[in-house]
Amino acid sequence: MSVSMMARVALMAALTAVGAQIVIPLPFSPVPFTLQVPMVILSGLLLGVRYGALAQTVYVLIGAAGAPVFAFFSGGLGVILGPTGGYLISYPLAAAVAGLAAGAAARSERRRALAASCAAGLAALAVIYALGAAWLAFQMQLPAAAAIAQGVLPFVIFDLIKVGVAALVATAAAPQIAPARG
Amino acid sequence: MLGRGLGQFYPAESPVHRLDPRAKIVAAGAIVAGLFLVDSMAGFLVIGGAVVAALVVSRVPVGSFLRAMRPVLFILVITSLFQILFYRRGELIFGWGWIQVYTGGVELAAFLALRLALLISATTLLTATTSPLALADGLEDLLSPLSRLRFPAHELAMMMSIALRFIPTLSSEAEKVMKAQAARGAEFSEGGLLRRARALVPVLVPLTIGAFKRADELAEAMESRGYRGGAGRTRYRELRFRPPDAAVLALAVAAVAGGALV
Repeated sequence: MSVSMMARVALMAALTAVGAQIVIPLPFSPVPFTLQVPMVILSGLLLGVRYGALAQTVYVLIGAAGAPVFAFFSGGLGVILGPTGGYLISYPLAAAVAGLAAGAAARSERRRALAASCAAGLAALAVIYALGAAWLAFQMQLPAAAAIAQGVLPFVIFDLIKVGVAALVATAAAPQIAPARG
Repeated sequence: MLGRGLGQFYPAESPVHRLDPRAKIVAAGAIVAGLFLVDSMAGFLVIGGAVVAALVVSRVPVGSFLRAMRPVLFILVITSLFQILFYRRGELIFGWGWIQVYTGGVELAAFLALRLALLISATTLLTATTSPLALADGLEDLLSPLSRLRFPAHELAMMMSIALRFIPTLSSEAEKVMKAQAARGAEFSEGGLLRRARALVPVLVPLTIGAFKRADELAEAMESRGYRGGAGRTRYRELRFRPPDAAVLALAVAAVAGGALV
């Protein structure tokens, strides 16, 4: 692994931490709108399958080590193993899935890049939901329907918008990022 | 934005702080695994006793542990209500119309809440008494046998350190870009959700491109200083495994074994 790629992966992990702290105030919803999920998708779209997953692994690990990088400045292994930890554990896999569209986001013309990014982002979101709800159901011994009602449905509309944000940013930024040196 | 840069780390002089991070990571891992193996209240009390003892010795204020519980409180309350109302085993203790509470539901809710509280206390104890950098060092050392299988243990720890170093930098950069866009008329706290989300795109694009530029500059600086990966690299902070570390490991394993057998 080249030093250049290491630095990029590390900075993308740091960017995810910053995204988790950027909150759009939504007076009508108890769920905070943060940029954590867009950053997960962006990791994949900009770094590709392998390095996108690595960036999210680094992000989850610094959170596990206690840095306050998750939403609400929380951190620590307790958050990851707690009831909502499945969402965090899913991030490396979700970034890898989003990474499938990395080539398309960087090279094809804008409309096609946007469509490919959105499709990959939606697939990544599905991964996050599946692992997040499954872990919630296991940890709290809930039936699947209850876990989905609590851990998926309240977030769907917001997350769809987040996928759109990630796709827009990726298609605008990717062409301006120089290819990594070997 | 990220004022508390050290995270949950609570710097203090205590025997727990002085332990080798590797011993603490393995001990916390054993306790966490133990919490999922134990299936009785008595077992929880054994493990809980060990966790509370370490907590007292560590001199970390109780408030830190309560703060660590806050993010999961909401979900804990909802799921506890769910278990109490809908888990129908044992004896009926309260019935009023469709609301029926059984002893089994109350027991299950208490069991899950206690497991979660112990889980968060044990892991908070690890991160409150060990700085993230020390944890990265410990993790690198614990994972280093895997480098023979081409697992990037050194690279992972190095990337963790770089990420920790650059969070405050990128955070203030994000703030700067947001202010600059606000000066150009961007609205982050008005209009519908879609408009607010769209206003973030012109913030994220320069932030992302800037982060990649910074990464490339950093790589160049590292290479020009002769960085070439983990092989043969010496450490500024040496890890030492001493008798107290072995004792703590033995105690953690004993607590888990005791909890599983009770």
